[in-house]
Amino acid sequence: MAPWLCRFCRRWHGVLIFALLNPERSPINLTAHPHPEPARTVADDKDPIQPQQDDADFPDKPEPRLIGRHGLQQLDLLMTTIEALDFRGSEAMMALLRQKNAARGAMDQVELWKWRTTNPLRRTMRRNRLKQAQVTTMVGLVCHMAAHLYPVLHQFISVREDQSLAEARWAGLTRRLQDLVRQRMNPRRAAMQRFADDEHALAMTKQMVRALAFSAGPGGEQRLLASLQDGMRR
Amino acid sequence: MHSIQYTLLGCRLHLLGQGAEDGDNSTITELKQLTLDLEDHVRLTGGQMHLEALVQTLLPYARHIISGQTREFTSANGTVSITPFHRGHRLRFQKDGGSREKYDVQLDDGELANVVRCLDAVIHDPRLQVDITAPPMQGLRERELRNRLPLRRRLAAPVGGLALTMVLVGLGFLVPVPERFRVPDSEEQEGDAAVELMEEQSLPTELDTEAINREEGAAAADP
Repeated sequence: MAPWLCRFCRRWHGVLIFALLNPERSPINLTAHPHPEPARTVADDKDPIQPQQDDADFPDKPEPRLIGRHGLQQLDLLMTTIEALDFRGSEAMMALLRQKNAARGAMDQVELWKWRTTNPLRRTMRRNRLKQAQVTTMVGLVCHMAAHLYPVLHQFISVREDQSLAEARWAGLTRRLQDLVRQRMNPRRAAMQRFADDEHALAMTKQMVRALAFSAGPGGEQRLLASLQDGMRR
Repeated sequence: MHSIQYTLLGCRLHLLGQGAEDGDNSTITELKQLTLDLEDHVRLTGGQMHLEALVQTLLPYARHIISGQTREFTSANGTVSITPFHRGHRLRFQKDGGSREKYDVQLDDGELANVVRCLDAVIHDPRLQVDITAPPMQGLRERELRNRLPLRRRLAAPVGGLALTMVLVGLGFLVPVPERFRVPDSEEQEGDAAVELMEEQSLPTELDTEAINREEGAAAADP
């Protein structure tokens, strides 16, 4: 049997090698297709031979990964930091997503949660791979939210602020982030166990806030995406 | 002369140049002067070369901050350089007018983030029609991320593996050889005798003294 891929039904069909070698004697008619080509209409302007936009979903052509495991962790942690900075952060992110994806279709909180659960550190983790467009949307969302929260982020990272006030502010934010991480992330992971340590959690919070401040705005998307791709280049 | 100004939380970037007036918007096609005011304590002035150098150094530097891997960046023409310094950053900016003197400015994260956002605005502003583009950004290579893990954790796996291998090899020597592979004593003695015999055969048995004397006599007879 020799397999061949049908361009209409996207399935593999088998053909006897005998039939291929002796088409005249073969009882199988190779010219007859199990899925005859539909008659083309005037309205149908797509050429079925040429690759179309829908082909991106075809499992034989997987999209190259835009970000790796570390990138997914960082992206979700940045979103969690935004929620720690702003109590209504998740609602604001949803509103922004709905606004951006209004033309594409419904976008609800569950969908965003599904995207975020691709983070391997989550309690409930999904193994499916994020599409490039989904990653780009999430990066754009983080940068937009960072620009929205920029005055707050600036207060955190500026050393000209009052020292005692800054320390109290950092401690509060670290506590909120630790609570969120405890609720959502898998406590058996070594990275999350280290997060229970106040000193490590403070260092991580500072790194996250710095990352948000330097990736704020439309120009930050490229920087953030590049940093999420760290370690993928050989 | 037309001007465009970008202001963000105490950072003010003022661009002055020649261009066109298009209704309410004025566009700059040739940049003459840039002025950067930082929190009212530093004022940097320069031209288009300085603006290009700022974009070429500060944006990649900010990208490395996001990855947590700060290192020194210097522009191709050496006009601008930035390096991590204590808890902040040290920006060296060559003075305008061809002099080799440099401004030496210390910035904190907040001030640097303001400047970076102003530069982002410059790049994405359609009013500024000057050929200035952001450098391409890419993920860091694994070898560039060495500092992300402490040395102890990086060495733990190879050192542990080596130690385990040595322990296993040592234990392997301690295990006694099974009986069926052991060579009997009588065979060992026979083997030793054979070796001695071969050594005797390989040694010269006695010297041919007559032939030696003949050769010596022939040598003495020759003049």
